[in-house]
Amino acid sequence: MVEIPAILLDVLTEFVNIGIGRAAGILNQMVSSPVTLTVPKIEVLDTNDASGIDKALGADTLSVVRLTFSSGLDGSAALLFPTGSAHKFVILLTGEPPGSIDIDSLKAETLNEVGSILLNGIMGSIANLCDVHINYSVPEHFEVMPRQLCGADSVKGAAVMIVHAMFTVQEHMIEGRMLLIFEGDSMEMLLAAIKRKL
Amino acid sequence: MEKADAAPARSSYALLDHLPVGAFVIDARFRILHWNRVLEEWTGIPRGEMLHTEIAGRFPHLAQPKYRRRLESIFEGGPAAVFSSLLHRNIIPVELRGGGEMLQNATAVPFAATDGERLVLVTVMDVTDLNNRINENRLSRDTALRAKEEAESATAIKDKFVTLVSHDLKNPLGTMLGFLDLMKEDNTATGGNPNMERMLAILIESVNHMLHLIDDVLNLSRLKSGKVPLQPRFFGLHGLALKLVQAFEGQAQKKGVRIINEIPESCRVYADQVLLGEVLKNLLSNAIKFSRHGGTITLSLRGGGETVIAVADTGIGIDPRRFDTLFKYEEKTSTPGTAGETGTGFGLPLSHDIIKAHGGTLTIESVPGKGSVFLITLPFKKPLILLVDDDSDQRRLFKSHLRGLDVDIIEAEDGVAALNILEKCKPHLIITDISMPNMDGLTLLETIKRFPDTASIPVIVLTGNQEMDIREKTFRMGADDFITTGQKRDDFMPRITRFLG
Repeated sequence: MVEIPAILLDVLTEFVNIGIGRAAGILNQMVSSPVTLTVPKIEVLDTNDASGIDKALGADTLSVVRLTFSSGLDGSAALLFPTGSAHKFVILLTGEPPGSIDIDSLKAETLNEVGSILLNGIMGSIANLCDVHINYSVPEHFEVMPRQLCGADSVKGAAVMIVHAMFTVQEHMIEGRMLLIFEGDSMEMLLAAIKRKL
Repeated sequence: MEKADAAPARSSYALLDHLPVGAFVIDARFRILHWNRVLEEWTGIPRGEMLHTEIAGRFPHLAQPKYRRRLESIFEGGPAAVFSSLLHRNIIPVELRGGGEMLQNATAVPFAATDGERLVLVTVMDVTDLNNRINENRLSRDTALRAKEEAESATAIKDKFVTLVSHDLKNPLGTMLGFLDLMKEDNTATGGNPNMERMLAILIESVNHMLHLIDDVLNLSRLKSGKVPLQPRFFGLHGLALKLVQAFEGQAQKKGVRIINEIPESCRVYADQVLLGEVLKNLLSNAIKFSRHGGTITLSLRGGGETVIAVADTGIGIDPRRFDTLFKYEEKTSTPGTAGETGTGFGLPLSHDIIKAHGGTLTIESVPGKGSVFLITLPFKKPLILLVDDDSDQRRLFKSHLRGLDVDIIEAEDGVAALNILEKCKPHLIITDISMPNMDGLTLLETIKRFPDTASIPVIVLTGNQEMDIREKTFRMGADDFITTGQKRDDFMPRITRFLG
């Protein structure tokens, strides 16, 4: 279990909120129905903490947009929705009639775009905070069971930041998660950067 | 200083011309450094016109924050940006030859040039076709679904209509026929006028014909709707054939045709007695219709592993080229008989469907001028009896009683064991004791009659108790018959054989 002092977690939450707010602004320029985004909770766990991760991510298949980052910080960032919610979210954003986006490629494209905007917002905040330059991979969309996301050998023992996010579109609430896995000493770097800001 | 990804020299942008997608490169001031061949082709704008100009000059919409801000963020160190077709339609508008605009999915990815300058490569994929295919797929799926729903509801309405109308037609016709028959018997009605008598005879025949037609339609809708399942049981075919021969005797005598019943008395079939009767009626009435004076119709059984019932006549025969169409409703053909008799044209297709529903076949052998044979082939079934009793001596005794019946017997020592067997197979008769451990006979009976799969299996309850209230109780619970132990074999065997034919 990763112990982070409450005050550091508060600051981190604040930075994440700024990034997500910026992302929501961009998102709203593109879609006809306004989207509001709130982050009620951020928690930081250990990839070995299977029960904690299960609780935070649920048991349903997830629709994932993920990009990996390297150089300044190492790890990956992902936007996750249960597949049913992902479908609904895309329909609400694009105004397509329900049931029309049943072929994954188009849904994937749209989720990829939304994911890249949100992850860009959040990673931009973190890069600013740590004052580092980061290289990113191109975002990719896939579907996966929650366990598989944190279970790979390469991320054993890494710190996982789980951002609980609530999207409101056309009076519909859709719950999503953003997942940031910090490999190596990336989490320590992040915490040190926060401390410097205090 | 950033770590450079694969960094193509500016001269090597030529590589992008080999990509099967649109691609362009911009610098931090949004000036175009490369415009690939696919984009030249799509937009009709040659590379020379695009190079070193700002992209928003040619495509003003890209100055909107939703593009500009996001591209800027890439130059500031952010990750790649995706522009999906559902949210943007396209980022480089392209008129399609067939009309409409191209739908595109674009990705903007940062890379470092050899001199370290951060540039952005935008690849543009044409997803119009994919989109259209998805829409077509959706449309055809929706259409197919709607068509299916419409067809199903149309069939349901048709079935209901047929049943209603048929019943409503049948009742007044029945009344008409009754009064016409009375008029025929009462000579004063026609006043002895031969013309009137002939007209009355025609009236009676027409009403009869109409009643047959309605019966056929009713049977057809019953069979087609599948709402009334077959109720097969074992029964003696000889008895059924005898009744039918008697019923048709008058009609046959009028034409000077003889009907012979050669079905052996021992013949047992497993079928829906009412429906098989309908088929035989159809075949007999056809045989009479197409027989000439002095002809013979024979009902017989052909040997083999299956039950083959033959209805043979010495009539005018059927051209083998017509065999295929005789059993089709669509080709409803009623051929007038040798005495000008008419038919509904439904008889043979309906008979064919009834036999098919039994898992059998209806076939024809015919020589024009010599006669026809209609063959009903029904799968052979040996009766299977489930004997439930906890007393093994009692079971042994019963088995010896049943030995002469040519039946298969499975045994169970209580209700639970019997239900386990019923999950795997469906016997034709169940004989059960009442008092048994684990599950008694009454509970077993209740369970059997409660489930649609087993409810139609006849159950005979066996008990030493002679009291009337037990007997009444079992009957109320759906038992089909009742045997008291200690009864003599000759007394109770008919109670069993009536379920076995």
